[in-house]
Amino acid sequence: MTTLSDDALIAQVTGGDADAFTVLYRRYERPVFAVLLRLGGQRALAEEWLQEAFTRVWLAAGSHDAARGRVKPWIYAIALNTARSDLARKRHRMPHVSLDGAGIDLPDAKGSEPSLSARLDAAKHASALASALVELPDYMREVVVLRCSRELSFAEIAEVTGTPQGTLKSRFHRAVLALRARLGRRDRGGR
Amino acid sequence: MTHPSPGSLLELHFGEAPVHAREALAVHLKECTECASFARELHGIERGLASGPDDAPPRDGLERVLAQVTVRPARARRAEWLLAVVPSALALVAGAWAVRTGGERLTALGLVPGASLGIVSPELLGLSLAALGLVVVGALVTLALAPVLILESHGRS
Repeated sequence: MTTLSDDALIAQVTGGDADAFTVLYRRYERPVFAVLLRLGGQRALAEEWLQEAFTRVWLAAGSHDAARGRVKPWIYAIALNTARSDLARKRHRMPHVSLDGAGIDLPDAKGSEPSLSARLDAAKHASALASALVELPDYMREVVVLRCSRELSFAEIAEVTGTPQGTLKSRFHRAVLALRARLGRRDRGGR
Repeated sequence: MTHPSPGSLLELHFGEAPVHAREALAVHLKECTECASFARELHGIERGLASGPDDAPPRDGLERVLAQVTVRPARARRAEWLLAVVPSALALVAGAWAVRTGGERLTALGLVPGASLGIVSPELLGLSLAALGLVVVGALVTLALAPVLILESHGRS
């Protein structure tokens, strides 16, 4: 069953097949959880969203129309909507999760403005980035997190979010500039 | 110097740039410090968001989802709804039957003068009897609970 396509699995889930659902869950739990973790910035929150999202996948399996889109973007859209709804309800920012250990190894900056890697040492970079990321507007954070997960192309993110690719790339660019500014301020404040 | 769009740099970074454009973009990055800086920051952000040790999903995640969906499976929701509606409808029919039968019996006994003359219908008589019964049962329950409620309110104060 593990070799079945997503479409075949969803068809079986529609019939109440828990084994097919298990395969689908195992296939997507890790990448979807990583995205939710970065969107929410808190592990407990991401776990809650993951459970809610896959519960919705089970309940809505019958409504998935293969002609209108593939299963992967559909699952990510459910996960994203789960996170959006909850964030909108709670209306507050969560403290970031520690990403210490995700070190970086970047070439030195040559531009006029120091690069992120030059301003922050490797140990603090991921943690500072996670903090800066949760301060971004949702629409910016979403595209950065979804694309950097390397699970979805810009075309697929457009499908997930219902936003044109050009707009997504523009948001990503603005997010990079915003992160640069926030991390720069943080660095200057820390000295 | 003409710079490529940020979108083109993003496409190059994520491997989505058209094959014919890749070489020109790579050459530009070698010559342009501004675009190279942007590319380095993209790299830094992506490395910063890379999977870490805290990324493992919950071990019991699947069990929790399955427990939730098997408690309320999609197809069972209609059955649950029917389970609530069918007994309620049966109770309503039985109640109507009891009211009508009770009214007819009272009429037959001739205890209510208006009923034997046809002024008061058996259904109305049955409903009145049911309402009276409800009031009596309510009064008895209130009287039975009164001491408990009084003692509880004294305990709180």
